[in-house]
Amino acid sequence: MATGIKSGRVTDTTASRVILAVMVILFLGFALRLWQLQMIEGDKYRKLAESNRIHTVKVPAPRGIIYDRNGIPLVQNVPAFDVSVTPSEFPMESTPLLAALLSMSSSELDRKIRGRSVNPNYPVKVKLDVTREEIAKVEARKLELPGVDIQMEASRKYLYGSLGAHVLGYLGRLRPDQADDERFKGVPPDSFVGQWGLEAVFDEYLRGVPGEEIYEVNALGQKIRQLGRKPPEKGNDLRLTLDMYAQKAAEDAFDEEDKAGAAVAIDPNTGGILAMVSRPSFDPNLFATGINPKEWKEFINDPRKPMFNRAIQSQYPPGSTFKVVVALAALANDRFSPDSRVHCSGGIPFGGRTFRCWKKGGHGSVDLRRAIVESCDVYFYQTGLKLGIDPIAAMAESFGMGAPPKVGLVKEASGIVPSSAWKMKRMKQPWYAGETLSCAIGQGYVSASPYQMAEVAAIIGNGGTRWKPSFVKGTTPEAAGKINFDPAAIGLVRDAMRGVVEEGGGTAHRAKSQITTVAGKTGTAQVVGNEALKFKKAGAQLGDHGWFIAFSPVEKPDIAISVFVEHGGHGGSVAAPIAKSMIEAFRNREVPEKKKSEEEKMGAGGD
Amino acid sequence: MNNSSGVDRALLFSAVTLALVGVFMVYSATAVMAVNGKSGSFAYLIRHMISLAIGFGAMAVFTFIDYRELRKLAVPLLIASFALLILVFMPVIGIKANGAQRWLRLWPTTFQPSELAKLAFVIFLADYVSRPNGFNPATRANVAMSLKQKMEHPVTGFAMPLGIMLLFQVVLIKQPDFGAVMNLGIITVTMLILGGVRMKFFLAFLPFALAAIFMLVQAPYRMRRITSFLDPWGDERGSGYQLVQSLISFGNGGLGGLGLGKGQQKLFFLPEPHTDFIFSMIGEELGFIGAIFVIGLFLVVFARGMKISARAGDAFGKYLAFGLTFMIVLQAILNAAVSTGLMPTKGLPLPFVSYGGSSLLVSLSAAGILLNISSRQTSGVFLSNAAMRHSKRFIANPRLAGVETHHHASLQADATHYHASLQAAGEA
Repeated sequence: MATGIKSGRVTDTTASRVILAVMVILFLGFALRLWQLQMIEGDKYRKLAESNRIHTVKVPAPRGIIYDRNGIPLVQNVPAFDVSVTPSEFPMESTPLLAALLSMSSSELDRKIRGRSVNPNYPVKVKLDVTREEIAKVEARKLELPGVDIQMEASRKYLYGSLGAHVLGYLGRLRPDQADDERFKGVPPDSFVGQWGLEAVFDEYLRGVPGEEIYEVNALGQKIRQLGRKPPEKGNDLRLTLDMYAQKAAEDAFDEEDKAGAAVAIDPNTGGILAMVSRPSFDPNLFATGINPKEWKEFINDPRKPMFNRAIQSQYPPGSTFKVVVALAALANDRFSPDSRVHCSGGIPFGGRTFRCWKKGGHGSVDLRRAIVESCDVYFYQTGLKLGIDPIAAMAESFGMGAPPKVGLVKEASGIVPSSAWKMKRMKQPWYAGETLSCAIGQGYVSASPYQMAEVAAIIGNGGTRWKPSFVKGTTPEAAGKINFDPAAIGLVRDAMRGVVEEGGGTAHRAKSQITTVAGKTGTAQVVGNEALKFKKAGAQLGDHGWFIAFSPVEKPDIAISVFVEHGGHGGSVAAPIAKSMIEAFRNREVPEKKKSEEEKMGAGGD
Repeated sequence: MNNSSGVDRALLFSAVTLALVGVFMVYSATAVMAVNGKSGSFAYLIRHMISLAIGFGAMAVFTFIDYRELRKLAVPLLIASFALLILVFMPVIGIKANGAQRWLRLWPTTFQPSELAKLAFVIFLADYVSRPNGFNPATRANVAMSLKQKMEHPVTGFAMPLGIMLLFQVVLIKQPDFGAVMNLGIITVTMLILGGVRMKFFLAFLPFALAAIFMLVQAPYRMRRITSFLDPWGDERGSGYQLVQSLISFGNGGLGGLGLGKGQQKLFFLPEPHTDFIFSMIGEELGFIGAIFVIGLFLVVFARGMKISARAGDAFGKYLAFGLTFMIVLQAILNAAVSTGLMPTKGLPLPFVSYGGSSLLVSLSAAGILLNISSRQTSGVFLSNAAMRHSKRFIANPRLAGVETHHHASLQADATHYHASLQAAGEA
């Protein structure tokens, strides 16, 4: 055969010896590797093999319950159900069936189960938050669906729906980007954790420690014997300062009026927050049971901004409620006498224009007390002119205005306390006396959040202490500031505020209660300029915002309130009745009668 | 060796022993799996036994067919295997499983054409590198040229066979079957180098090959396999899982193993214990001793295969014997390297041992052909050892017979040349 010289190369004895040598080296290499794996490191692997026979199941820990100040539970732990599939046990032919039962597409399910990186012997969660109906369907076909399991996670039900939604917040699944977060160390994947509100702030406190059940598994991975059990540790309960009655009374009142706005109630003796309402709101149960991306998008793009906590995140000119601050600033000044009278004829000319009083005919001759009771603008124009802006600003700041109150839920509005230094810094312009006039009646640059105005009421109510905000009952109150009022001065303002509610000429007689004494101050924030235009565009009704701040009882107050109603008109007409209803609900420990039947209905259906 | 029947008994013994180990291990691995599914505990074993019966039948047939007849089949078989590879992508008869499309539906069973493709390619190459007179694609005519001329020519020696290989590899990547792509590449390059193709062609081609490998590796799942190979513990619940479980199996086995059927890893933890990771199971149940025994059997297969190649009566037989041996042993090496964590995970069965009809059929057929070559290698049964050595050279290089002086020189030249080729093959 004419095979040529080349054929020799495959057969040459030297060559085959070389190849053989290479193979022997490879053989020895494998032998060494096997020796290493089986003899040297054998113990290490045997230990790992041992752990393979043991299957650990995490048992979710019950989360701490959140109670209101009266011990009424506001939340309940409920299970959320997930469907998982162990790919190695799951027959491929059953894919379409399971997909149909869970109303998902076969290809989506297949991708989840048979992805390349999926470990076939560990359950993969294929659908989260399945309904009871879906569970029933899956259970009914269990025989055709080996390897399919229903797994439980601890979720929440918010018993009163949207009640205190902005405060309580909600739970959500641990997001992948949170997995490495130090705060969520040891939290199993797919667990529910607090994602917003107090649920998030106190997450570690409420969370508890998941338990473990250790099983020996047989050849098929089925549990044959429980080897050990570490029971889950329940999270700590949280008793809030929140008063469910005041909270609900305010929310019901807002809903009845169908108004946006906010209400805050604080305990003037501790700083504990008794109520924090923001409208419009949302139902946190939506999140706990799993909101789909579409709903979520719609929700966060809602122009009414239901997630926006108006109680601490919005800021508006406080209007006439600010007059009490101006009055206290004046009373602290030696040159000022509360008895000197100002004649109000409905306005004063200043700087080439007329600054009007809200009462067209004027209030006639008024002293400080009368000016507060009847909310005379001219009196405060004059007072402001006499004082100048800076003493007013100093007083406002000692009330906590102009700085975030540090409630701790979300990023808070700090409000604005204008002063000559502030204006120079912000606008590089000197202060004009005409601007003092606007600010003296709480318009112009001045702005505050509803929470800040509630603090104003609380500080006047308790005689000068500014407490740090707190949601947790039983914590030792901590002072954030103290104003040393002259007793006569503070007494006068408190008396005047009582007159606002209880006297015939008072602007807030609608807040007068038959069961307790109330002191307060109304306010109206004018909607002007761009904002007015914006509201017009959004098609919202246009009107001034109403304010009301109050404390009760006058002698020794245990509740201080601020209510802000967007486009609520004059503060006395809409805001004051809301405050009254909150005070009475707080006092009587019940929500006003006609709401009560509704609440019972909710309670009955709430399980 | 050269007994009355003429076949290489050591090779036969090794193949049969490996197949026997396979029977036990497949049963041990699948008895539990079978229970888990709907079929009985013997379901896999029965199918495996049927595959083995067919495989040994094919082995017997090939043992008795003159391997030189295969030359006629070289090209048709290549074309047929390529067509089957394409058919995998057709609806109805193509089967998609675990994200790959590698199987043909042959009611009532399935077939993996990539296994046949490897065998067809070896036969084709053995024929190609031993047949003078190349086919010139430009003129579409057979060109008279010596084998040396043909193999050293850039088109006929290098571009044509490599082009055909790439064609196969492209289809295999589509499936995707990266293990087969790699296997085919190594076999082809080695056989071409042994066939006398100039090394410089391969060196020039190397950058392109590396670029292609780089692009392939970028497929995310392959990348994950590679990263998990480098650090299996980094993601032991995810992509490093298979490897970790495989290593645990070996470690768990220790020196003597847990005993046949007593392995724990196969039960629940080790994926594919009856196919790609059967070697890990051997490591666990038969221990270090068993694993070494299995590797030793493959070493015997290799040694005997090389000897058959050396003694084959013609160049085709030499190349064929080498190619088939290399095909079997290379696959065994790759499989064992993957199982022991020396190489990134890829799906390759262990020849003779793993469950899987196509693989068994092809490796047993290859063994049959080797046996046939061994039975025909010489009539020198009656010759003395010295005479045998002489006759070996004579058969190896029939042209040189009787021209002793020239013989020695050329032999030496060949040996040096071969050293170089071998090194190149090792690098490839």
